[in-house]
This record gives sequence, structure tokens and C-alpha cells, in this order.
Amino acid sequence: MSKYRRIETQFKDEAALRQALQDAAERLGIEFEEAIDGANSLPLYGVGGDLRPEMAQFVIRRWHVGVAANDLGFAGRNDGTYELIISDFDAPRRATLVNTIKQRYAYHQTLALALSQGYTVTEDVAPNGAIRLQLARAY
Amino acid sequence: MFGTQPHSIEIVINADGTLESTVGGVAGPTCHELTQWLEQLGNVVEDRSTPEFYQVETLGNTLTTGV
Repeated sequence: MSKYRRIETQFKDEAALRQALQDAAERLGIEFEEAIDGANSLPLYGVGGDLRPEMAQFVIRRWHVGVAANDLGFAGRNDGTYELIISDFDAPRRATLVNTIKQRYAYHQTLALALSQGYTVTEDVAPNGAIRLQLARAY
Repeated sequence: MFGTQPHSIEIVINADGTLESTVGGVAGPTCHELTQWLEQLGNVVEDRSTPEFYQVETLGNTLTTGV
């Protein structure tokens, strides 16, 4: 080994984010909504059904987020990234959901980029849940 | 030279979504170039070279070092 890098994932790719949300929905038995116009046109609601000021393109409704939760959303930004919209109350309490989305996003985005770079990819999952990708290329 | 050597990259995607990558089979600065595409995934928060990085890379008649 000769080079080590650690990277914090940023949500940038719409297709990978959609796949990550689909994976999380399947694994955790939840549902998400996507704005049909591809814009931040879905309203977000608080725990009591109160309309919040934020709008999002992808939304997980509060009854899927957890007990006494607020809606969670992903809103596209002008810089091409997606911002996770989660309340201060929910942020420390919904780590399983958020981390599942983050990991599945990183998986799909990494796999797509690796294949586009000409790598062959093998994968396995460690007991701690980490996904290990082995990329090989003969040139 | 970039893109001319067989090599492998191991990427670990942790349960919290952070990534760790290590390059194998390549010494010298080439391995940095081989993982530049990973920067598309997010912010690099740690970037260090292991001892192999500083080994002399032999490419035909050209010798380069990873310093």
C-alpha cells in the first residue's frame, strides 16, 4: 500500500441519491417521496403537522423517520450538491437512517465512478457493516 | 506514468458513509493520480503516504521519487 486517503461523502449525484434512498427504504421498511418535477417542491412538516419553511426534492415523512420525528428531506442546491434537511432534534436520534443513506450513496457513487474508470470491482461486507470494494485495472 | 501500470485500489465504505482508500502495486506520486477521481465523492479529510510511496519508481530509463 502506498497511499491512504479518507473522504467524507457529499451528496452530489441525483441518481446515486435516489438509489441510496431506495436501498434504505427496502432495508428499513420505510418509504420516501420524490418531487415529480425534479425540483425542491415538496413541503416539509414538523412533528405536529406544522408546515416548515424548507422545501425538498426527496422527502422521508416523519412517521417513517421515527417516533416524534420531523420530516427529513434532501434539497438540491445551486452548487450541484444536495443538502440533508434534518431537525436539530432528529439529527442525533436518527443515525441509523441517515448513515444507511450515506453509506448506500457512497457505494453507488463509488461503484459508478470505478466502472467508468475501467476498473473491475469485487465487493464484500465486513461484520461491522463496512463495504469493501477491491478495484483492479491492468493499465 | 499515469495509467500504465497494473494496480489495485481498496476502498472501504464505513457504516457512517465515510470512505477510506489505499492504493497497491504502485509506488511514487503515480498513486496520487490514480485516486484523484475519488475526490468527486466528497471532501478529503485525510491524505497521507505510506512508506511505499517514497520508494523509487522505475519506469523504463526514468527514475522518479515520490518526494
